[in-house]
Amino acid sequence: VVRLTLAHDPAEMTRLGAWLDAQEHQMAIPTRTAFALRQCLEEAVANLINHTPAEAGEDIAIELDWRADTLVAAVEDSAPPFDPRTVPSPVRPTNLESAVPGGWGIHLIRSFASDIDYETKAGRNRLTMKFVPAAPAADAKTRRN
Amino acid sequence: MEMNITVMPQNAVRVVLAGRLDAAGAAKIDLPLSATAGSSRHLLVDMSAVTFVASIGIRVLVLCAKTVQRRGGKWLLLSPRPEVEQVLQTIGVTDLLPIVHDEAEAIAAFDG
Repeated sequence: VVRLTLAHDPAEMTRLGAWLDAQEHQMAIPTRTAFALRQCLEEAVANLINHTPAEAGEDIAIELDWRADTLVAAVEDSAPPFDPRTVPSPVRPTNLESAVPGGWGIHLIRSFASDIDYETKAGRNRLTMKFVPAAPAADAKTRRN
Repeated sequence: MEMNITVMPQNAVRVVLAGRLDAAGAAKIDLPLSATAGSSRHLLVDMSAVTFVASIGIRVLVLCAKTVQRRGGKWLLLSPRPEVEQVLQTIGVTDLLPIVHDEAEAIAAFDG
């Protein structure tokens, strides 16, 4: 399991991006899976940093691990519990003038992860997102082990 | 994320974005793109070199597109990569941010 901790600060998004660059390579994550993983982690961490009360220190912890052929990403935080599985899908905007940007992140997570889970234990929330890579023929890179 | 601007006919500009439009990328282009949206009639935003879009980046595009439309102009996206287009479609903004595939198509749309 590889782990990254981030402070509750928008500037930390740059560290997340660079860490994902390194993990994609080191963990040999197939291209399309890497795209889905980045989509989900960007959205999950940005939601925490932008929409929850600031916590001291590096409160946000990210874990990444291959379990058999499934890539498992977890995001932990101490914010008030917020189960993304219970949020209704955003209304599809019909025209630009009335479009209110927002609520898209969770919709993207639910669309791009193969499966998500959420639990709160002892004041820590844990969002788990699973990614099952497509068959090797459908993907550019193959996994090294 | 890099941003370059070239002038087109009909008081339009072509904005070429390159790299990841993630949170860091969105923060970098927010002000310059807003300024361009506020000072040009039509915008053609070349997405062909954008490798990733987060919702925070799409938010910047939608808000700038609103600015352009409010001033009577048109906003078009040029040739997003399939994986980026999939994100736009998942959110449901492809009707709001129409996609064209070459500059001639954009000029025709700006004319109309």
